[in-house]
Amino acid sequence: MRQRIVDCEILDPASGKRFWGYVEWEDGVICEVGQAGPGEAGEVSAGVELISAHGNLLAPSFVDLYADFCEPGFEYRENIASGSAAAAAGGYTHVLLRPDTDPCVDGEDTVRFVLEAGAKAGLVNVLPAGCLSRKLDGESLAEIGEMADAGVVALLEGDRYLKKGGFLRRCMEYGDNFHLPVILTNEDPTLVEGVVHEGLVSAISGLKTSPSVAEEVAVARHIALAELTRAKTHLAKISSAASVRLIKDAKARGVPVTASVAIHNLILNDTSTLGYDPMFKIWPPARSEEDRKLLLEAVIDGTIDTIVSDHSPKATEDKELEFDLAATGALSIELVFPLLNKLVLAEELDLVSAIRAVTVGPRRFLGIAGGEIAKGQPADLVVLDRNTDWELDYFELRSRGRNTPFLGQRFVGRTYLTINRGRVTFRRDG
Amino acid sequence: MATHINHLLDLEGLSKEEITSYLDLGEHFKGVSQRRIKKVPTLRHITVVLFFIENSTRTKISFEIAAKRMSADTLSFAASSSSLAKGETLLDTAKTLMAMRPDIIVIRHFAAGAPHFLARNVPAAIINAGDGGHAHPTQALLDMFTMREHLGKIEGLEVAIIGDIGHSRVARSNIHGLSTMGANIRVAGPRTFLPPHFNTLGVQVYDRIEPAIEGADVVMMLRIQKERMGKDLFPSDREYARFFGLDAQKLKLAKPGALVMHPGPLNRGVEITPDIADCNNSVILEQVENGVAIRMAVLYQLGKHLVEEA
Amino acid sequence: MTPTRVLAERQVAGAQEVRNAIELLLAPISSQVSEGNTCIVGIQTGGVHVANRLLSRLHQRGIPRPPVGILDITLYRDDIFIGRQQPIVRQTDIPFELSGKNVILVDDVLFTGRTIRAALDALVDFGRPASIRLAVLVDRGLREYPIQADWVGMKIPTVIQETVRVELVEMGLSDDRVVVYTREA
Repeated sequence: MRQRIVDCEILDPASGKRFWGYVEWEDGVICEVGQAGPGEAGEVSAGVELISAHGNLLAPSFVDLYADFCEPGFEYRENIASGSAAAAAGGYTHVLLRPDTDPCVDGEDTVRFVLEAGAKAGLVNVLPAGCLSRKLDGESLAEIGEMADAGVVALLEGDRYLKKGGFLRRCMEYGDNFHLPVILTNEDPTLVEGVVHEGLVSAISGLKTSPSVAEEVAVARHIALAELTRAKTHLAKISSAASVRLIKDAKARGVPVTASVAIHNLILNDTSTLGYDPMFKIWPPARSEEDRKLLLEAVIDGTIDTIVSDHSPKATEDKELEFDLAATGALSIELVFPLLNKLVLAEELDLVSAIRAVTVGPRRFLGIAGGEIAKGQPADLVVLDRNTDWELDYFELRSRGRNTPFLGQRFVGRTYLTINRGRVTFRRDG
Repeated sequence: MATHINHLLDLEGLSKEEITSYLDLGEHFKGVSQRRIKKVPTLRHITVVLFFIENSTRTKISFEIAAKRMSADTLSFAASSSSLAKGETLLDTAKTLMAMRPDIIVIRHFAAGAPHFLARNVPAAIINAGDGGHAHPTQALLDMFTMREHLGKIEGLEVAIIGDIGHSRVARSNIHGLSTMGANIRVAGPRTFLPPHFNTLGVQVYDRIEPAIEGADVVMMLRIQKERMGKDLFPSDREYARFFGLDAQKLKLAKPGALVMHPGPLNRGVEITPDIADCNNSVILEQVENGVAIRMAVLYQLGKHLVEEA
Repeated sequence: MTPTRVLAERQVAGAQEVRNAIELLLAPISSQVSEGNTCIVGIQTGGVHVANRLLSRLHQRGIPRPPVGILDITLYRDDIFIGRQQPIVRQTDIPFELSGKNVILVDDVLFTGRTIRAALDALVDFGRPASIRLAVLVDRGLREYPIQADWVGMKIPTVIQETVRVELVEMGLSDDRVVVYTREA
């Protein structure tokens, strides 16, 4: 069955090319890409089903390297089915899941469970990650080889810091044995008291803090270990200018590291905590405005390769508490594009860099095909409406959670259509 | 429901005029407390709930006396004996309290921002009696009242605040209030007690007590929480007392007639020697008396317009 | 409170009429004060000025100054919660023992009687007076409580929409007079 999407402005982030045209695919693989004016379909053969993009932008679909679908164990927050629906609505076709569930993904049976649940939902390619340590104990290796065979794409301990540096080294070496990259979050817990950036704002608010140095120290350790073990290492959710400097230097020296930033750290700074609203309680902390601006520059110059959602749904009753006691994290996967568009409209980020960070960057890390709109590439595409003005209301979200600081806010731009291997997995109605 | 609800959550948002009106009212209410009948009927239509999640005897009693002197009804709520100990959330407890229709809730809590959380979710006037390390507005108001009473003004005063500044809500509220009123502030303490950003709040930061006290009009000593001693913030009582405690020798560096203040309770022999705690310059007991007057003023300001629409 | 326009203003008593009214009050007050064990308490703020005028007249007559107090009734009002205006709490100072004394309570204008009701409540919180007599410069009628003055300087009939203002030189003004005016609703 051949399908052709027409009336779209095509953006190919790898090359930076932008042109009006059409894309045709068969059996989930792109067979033709051509130019055509707005509203035109080009020369269409018989039997080809036409899909209209209604004059919107067409880009490769998004890939997420860090999301929590909470299943097994925390289904009251989200499950793989609802998370998949949210991700497809966000323009994603591939999502890497946090394995620190309950039970955690530390063996082939849990890997299979996750893959089956993802296949059953049938909306995104659920990419399982495996824990580094057995039962997340931080000391003994998980069955990494078996997990690799079962389909795990990377090793990740969740938002945890491996206290034993020696153990982390062994994990990286062993993972590299099975060609599995390691994704590491970066905060030395002995340097922090809380989750609010230590700065002038926390001096006023009196909230418990997490200084940038806690991240910097962790990043330095991880870069050194990557250099030693030559394991492919991804430094996830960078939040401070200091870390960016270390990463830039490491890359220049040829250390095999890549880096990501969570979408909220590009939007918020530490002043968001002044109202003590737990909806703004996120980790890594939103840091100073200077940090935020430097993170944006790092995305543009490629020091940061990827933007991740860090989708963290939480139960409402766990957020409706005093700041100190409230759960940390915000859901985000459906909102990544509207938030990126906000940055583009404010001229803080250019469109090509933004799209590249959620399409090319993550695919390159995982070594999966796509991210380019060309013949022979998988038909993993997203249509983005960059103009509609809309308000985020409670019922809009497909996630089971409602914990976003942006409820009730107006946005410009949203996803319109998501196409996964040629199949439409999300269509915006209305 | 009340026609218009005001709160006192912290001093950051208050103007010079607003702070001054609290201080002026405090004078009137201090007068009431010195009469034969230490009561006025003004707030007899008001119910005040004392919601003390973090324990406190002095502040709680002070608010209770203040409310009773305004003829308000009081209801007291302590964390340990309450439903909070059984796992009920702050929000649910507050909503249950609202069923008894309190007009004013005075809250002390160990989490910064808890009063702001209540103010967003509960239709009563909220007074912050101390929220974690963030603010203690009535303490700062009574401190400023005491200074003004003795020294005639606040603008231009040199005020030294000594102790665990980083964790102190008393320090923060005083810094905000005194800055608004035009005083010059010096803070001092061991480096472990001084977070790196306080100099941007407009205060001079010292890691020795002597330069902070020199030429000061007011020396305010903060309580050292003994549970922090001997861990990673400070080695021992003895060392703290020697380098950062206030004694007669160090007090000589201040201006003659400088006020010695302390929010209480005192650790005699640690942050302040007994002879200085009781000396002529010390206004520590007056601070307590002024606390009642200021709290009467705050209850009056917030309570006077609360009324049930017929 | 948003200021409203004054629609009509008329002077109902000039300097001479005010002085006559003061003299009317002075007669009974002097004899009461001369009997001893009497004090004068002026109600903030108008009553304080009237009391000061009475005291200077007493002094001119050679009568020894009795104990004098000032009383602010803001905290005793019955309409504190109707937020029509920001009530300003002013000074109260009764620097003597009130119990057993004969109090002469002084106010400038007697109207609904609510102010006097509040003043009585406040006074008895200070002690148990032997007696309380009320002296007012102007009685404008329209009582809402069963309260009357013992001694009245002048009676001025008014309607509810009007406001009566007593102006005395003690207030820093050029001359004494009493003015009645109406504001727009």
